[in-house]
Amino acid sequence: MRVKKKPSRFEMRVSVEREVLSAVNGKLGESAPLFGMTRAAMEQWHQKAAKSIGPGKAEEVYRILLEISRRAELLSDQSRDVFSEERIAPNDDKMLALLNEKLSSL
Amino acid sequence: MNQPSANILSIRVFGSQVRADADRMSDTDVLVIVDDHSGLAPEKEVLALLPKKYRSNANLSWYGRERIASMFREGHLFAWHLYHESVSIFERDLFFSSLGTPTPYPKAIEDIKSFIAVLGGIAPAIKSAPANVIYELGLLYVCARNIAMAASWHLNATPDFSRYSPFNLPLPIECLAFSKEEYECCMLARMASQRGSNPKSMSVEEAINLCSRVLRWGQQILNTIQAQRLCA
Repeated sequence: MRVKKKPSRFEMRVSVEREVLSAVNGKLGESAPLFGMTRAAMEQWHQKAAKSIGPGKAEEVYRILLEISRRAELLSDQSRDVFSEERIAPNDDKMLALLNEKLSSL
Repeated sequence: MNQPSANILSIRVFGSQVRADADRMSDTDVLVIVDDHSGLAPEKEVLALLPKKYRSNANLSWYGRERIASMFREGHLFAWHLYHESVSIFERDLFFSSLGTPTPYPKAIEDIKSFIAVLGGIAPAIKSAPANVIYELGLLYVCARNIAMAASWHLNATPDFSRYSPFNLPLPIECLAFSKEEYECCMLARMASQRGSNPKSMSVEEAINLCSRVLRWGQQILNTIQAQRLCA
């Protein structure tokens, strides 16, 4: 039997980020695309989104993004993560549902 | 000099600043090793020990004593990176020197295969979510650079951790399936994903085409190393 290799931290991070970016960019990809889940990338998105959907709504989505990123420990730019075997938490379904709900109300 | 908290064992600058190939896009990578289970120390304490020119763009990486020691024992590529390209800012009881020379890197092929697997997922991901193209191009850069870094262990005289490592592999020119301009576009995409800077745009079609070329290049490198090892 072939044993499937455990995903690396990098692979897990990619999976978490793709899920969130697809949700945000599916709705706002034209006017305010999100490029990543680090604090710096999300702050840059926050500024663009404030112009596109208004500061109040942008702030609400930004707070959810920050919380998702904090829970999955994605906030800092750790380029050394690519070879790390440490685990990261998968996306929290409740937080993703909250994000999708907020995005669909825009 | 101020003494940092007692749990800090070592502070080192590594990466582009040490290679002396830093440019306006470079940050300053700083390794901080702390005693296990002692928590982090205040960041400003670490920053205060750095030369002034590094303080504003320092990117701190925190590691525990045992984690770093195990990376040296296991021959982790990051341990080799630190061994070759880091300089001391602070050491307690010669901690870093006590780690010695890392074990020879045993996992180059495994790591290259892992990045090829990620590369293989990029084009399908762009097709299913075209608005994520910048993020995906950033991943392309990470994969290409890391495949080259891992491959350099076998193919170069010394491991190459530089940003342009794919262009420094001693392979026939026709093996390099992408241009420096395309690579730099992917590098800017990665910086946008990590640091919030502005990316350079690339169409979805061009990005998908680039993915297939980088994937082919990665596979060629893997084949070259495997063939070389068979002959050895």
